[in-house]
Amino acid sequence: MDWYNVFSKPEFEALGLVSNTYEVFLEGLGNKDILVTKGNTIAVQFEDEFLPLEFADRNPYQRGDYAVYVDEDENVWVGIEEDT
Amino acid sequence: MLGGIDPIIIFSFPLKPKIPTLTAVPGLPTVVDTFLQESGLPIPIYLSKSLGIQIESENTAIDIDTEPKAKEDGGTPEVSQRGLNSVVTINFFVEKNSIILTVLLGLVDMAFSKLVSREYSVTYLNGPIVIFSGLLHGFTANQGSDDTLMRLSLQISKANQKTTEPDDTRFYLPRVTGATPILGGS
Repeated sequence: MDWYNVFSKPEFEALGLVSNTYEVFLEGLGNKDILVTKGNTIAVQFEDEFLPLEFADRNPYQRGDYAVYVDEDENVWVGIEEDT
Repeated sequence: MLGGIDPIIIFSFPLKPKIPTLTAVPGLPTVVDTFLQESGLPIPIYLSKSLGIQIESENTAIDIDTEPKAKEDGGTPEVSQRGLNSVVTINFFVEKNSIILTVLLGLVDMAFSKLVSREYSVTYLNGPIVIFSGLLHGFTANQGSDDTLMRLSLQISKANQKTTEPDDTRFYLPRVTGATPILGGS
């Protein structure tokens, strides 16, 4: 799986926003918009997949071809299956 | 307007290939060739009643995309905006036998053929409505069956005008391959 370090969880929480869109250029994929939302938990919406962080105590949490992972420095990574 | 008399539309087409320097006085070069290469050959059309053209109405429309970002504490949301388009629409009618109608239709067709290469620009001056080096956004011509007039609608876009832009916030993210980014580390 290919992983991309999209944002820092503490920095996103410090913004105090309910949602934020990160406009990024992913190596090998090009320009992408990644929506991060905060409700009961922080979640990443990428390519129409909704990926809550550490959902069901699973880290990384994968759904379909996409996954989300929080490392020990609380950086949030978005993962994409290599053949996607 | 020029001299406050008549509205004017100016079509500009860059000249290719490079033309030789023109000299007004032997030995003294002019900057005409550079101007024509960069700004294009200006072709003005005076929208004068004496030429059979009458402006019926003008309107300006600006489309803006506003994206508010709500805050958890219900405070003032952050707002980001970007301009989608800025279009001026000129509605006018022309007598069918007017030579200006023929010229105008020909210039619009010429501009249409250069849309992809962007080798054209349209300038419009009429009082407070001023567009320099705009883009052709639309054109319609309707011919009435019971009169001698043709009703034209010309749309000029100012979308190519230079605006103040924020710094590029799109970050380049390198790829790390592995079961997790920590185990991968490449």
